[in-house]
Amino acid sequence: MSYFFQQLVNGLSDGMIYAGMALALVVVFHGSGVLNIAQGEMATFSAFLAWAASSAHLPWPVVIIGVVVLSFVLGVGVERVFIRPVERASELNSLIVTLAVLLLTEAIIGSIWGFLPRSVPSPFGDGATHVGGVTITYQQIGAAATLAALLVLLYGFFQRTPVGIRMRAATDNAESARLLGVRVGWMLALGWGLAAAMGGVVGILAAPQFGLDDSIFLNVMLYAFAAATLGGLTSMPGAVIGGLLIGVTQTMSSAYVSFIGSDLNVVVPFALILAVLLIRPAGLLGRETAGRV
Amino acid sequence: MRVAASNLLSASKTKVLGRISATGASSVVLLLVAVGFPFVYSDFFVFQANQVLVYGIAILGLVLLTGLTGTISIGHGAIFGIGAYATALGMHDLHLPYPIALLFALGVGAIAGVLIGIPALRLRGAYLALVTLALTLVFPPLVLRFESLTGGAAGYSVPAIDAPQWSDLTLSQWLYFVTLVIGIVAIVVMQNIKRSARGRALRAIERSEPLAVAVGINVSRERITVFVISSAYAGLAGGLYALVSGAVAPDAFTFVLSSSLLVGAVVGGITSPIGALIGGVLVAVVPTVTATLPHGLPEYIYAIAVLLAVYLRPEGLASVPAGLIEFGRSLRARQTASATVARRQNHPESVPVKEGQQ
Repeated sequence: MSYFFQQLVNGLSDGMIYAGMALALVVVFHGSGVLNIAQGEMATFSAFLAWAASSAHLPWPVVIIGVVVLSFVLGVGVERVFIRPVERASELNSLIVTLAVLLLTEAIIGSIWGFLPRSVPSPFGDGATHVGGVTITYQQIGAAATLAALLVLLYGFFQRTPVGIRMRAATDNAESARLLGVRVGWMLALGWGLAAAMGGVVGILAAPQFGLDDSIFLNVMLYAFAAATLGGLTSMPGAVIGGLLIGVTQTMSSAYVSFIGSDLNVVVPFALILAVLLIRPAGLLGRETAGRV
Repeated sequence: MRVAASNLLSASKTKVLGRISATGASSVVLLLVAVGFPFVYSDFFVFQANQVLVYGIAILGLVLLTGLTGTISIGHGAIFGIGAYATALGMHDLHLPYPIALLFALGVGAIAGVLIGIPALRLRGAYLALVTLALTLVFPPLVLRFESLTGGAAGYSVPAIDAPQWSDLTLSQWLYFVTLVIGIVAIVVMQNIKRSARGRALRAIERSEPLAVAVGINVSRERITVFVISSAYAGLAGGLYALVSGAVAPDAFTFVLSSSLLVGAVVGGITSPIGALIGGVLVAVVPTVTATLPHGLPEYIYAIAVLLAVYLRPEGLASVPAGLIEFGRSLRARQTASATVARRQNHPESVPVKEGQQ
């Protein structure tokens, strides 16, 4: 039984990471209708920044705050410079632009820090606690607590603050929002910044768990895509539920189904999203959009 | 008055005729260049050209699917891989002659299209793109897992084939002509689909699905048909890839292939066969050329080139000639306008109004 709970804990802790990244994807997609394939690579960049700062022996709070602010600025910058020219272009063209941003970010990371994988210390130390035969590392507890706090903050931001409400207005009905004096373009850029900051935090938290090299977050991000799709690309709670579900199913299936093992566990989340989408084409909590004639 | 009208008529007629013969002439020239190419250049370049044509055919599948219906597929790399494995296995295990193995690849690609197309019917836009992305991610690990069938990570070498004796060609030259003929047939088929009732139905669906339903188009049937045809193109292209490269291995059919096919299609031009050819060049030749550059530089160049192409020519590079003609026309119009002004300034006496005044 403790084996089961151990798998559950591991699954949930991976799932939290996917959930955080999925949330970043949803903030961007819901805001500007762009699937940001580069989100994971941007998070990798943030994680590298954090790694570089922490190897310079800066205290962790400074590192985290600095990286989050910098990621936010970079996110806004990416939207203004790269995405804005294709704001009105087709879905496909903006997808290709984010793909190019991914390649560009990867090249930048490669030329600054090289292509060797690195091991990253955890901000929460290396210890672990044992609860009835289940080992939970401080890293897992810390990451989960931070992400949970972040979710609450984000929720509060979108529900309660004037800026958050303006951002929601800009995504729900850009035209009306514009008439009411909301600067829709900047709200979208803000969304990108927020997503990049989220991604930065997730990157810092995930690096000790997954390791760090120039493309490590490609996989994390693909699971995050699966999570966001599962929950519905327009729903934030959906992204969180999707992330946790995928983390848990993935660990459980490779722990209990010997055929799947560790090499085929990439198949599991996608079988899951296919099954869910066949029943609910807009994901678990997503909104179906009506066709316009 | 009547004379003027008939003059106008004949003028427009010669213009139309001229335009038709211009397209005709340029196709003939293009064809002559294509046929002459393998005799002028060495086998190395012919091999490269084969790859361009192979990826071009795969991108034609995307041109059909995405160009006509707006459906985004990030899964064509996997279907390409399925076609390649079908050909390799068909020739190696079933001892099929290669033309039959190519048909086998076409069929397997089409079947893959049905299997993905049916669930895809329920999905739209980003959701569908992500499901096809999933296909791309799942394919290589599955190939690795079923090692006894697929040869695992090392892959398979395709049994050697020879050019027929009567042709007196090298293998590369022979494969070039095989691929060229298949490519031309693929283009003709695609253009016919575009101009048929089905093509118009598909464009109607892209415009507005509820409207298409309202005018009596069977949306599900049309969408799945185009998915199957497009997948068959990808499968066939994969089969040709196996023949041309002589081997198949799982790391050739990853996310990188799917995404570069898509990038090739968009940068080349998602609505035209010329765009597919340009896309093929991008996928096949650019990595070979940039491999000689220092590490890191190719990625920068590639990413920036893609960005510039999408920003400056959102319709793809295939729209450059049309854009140039348009530009030339506006330039000429401006020149005539300024020439008229200049004439008036230089020879004021020739302007009728002045004559009248004198």
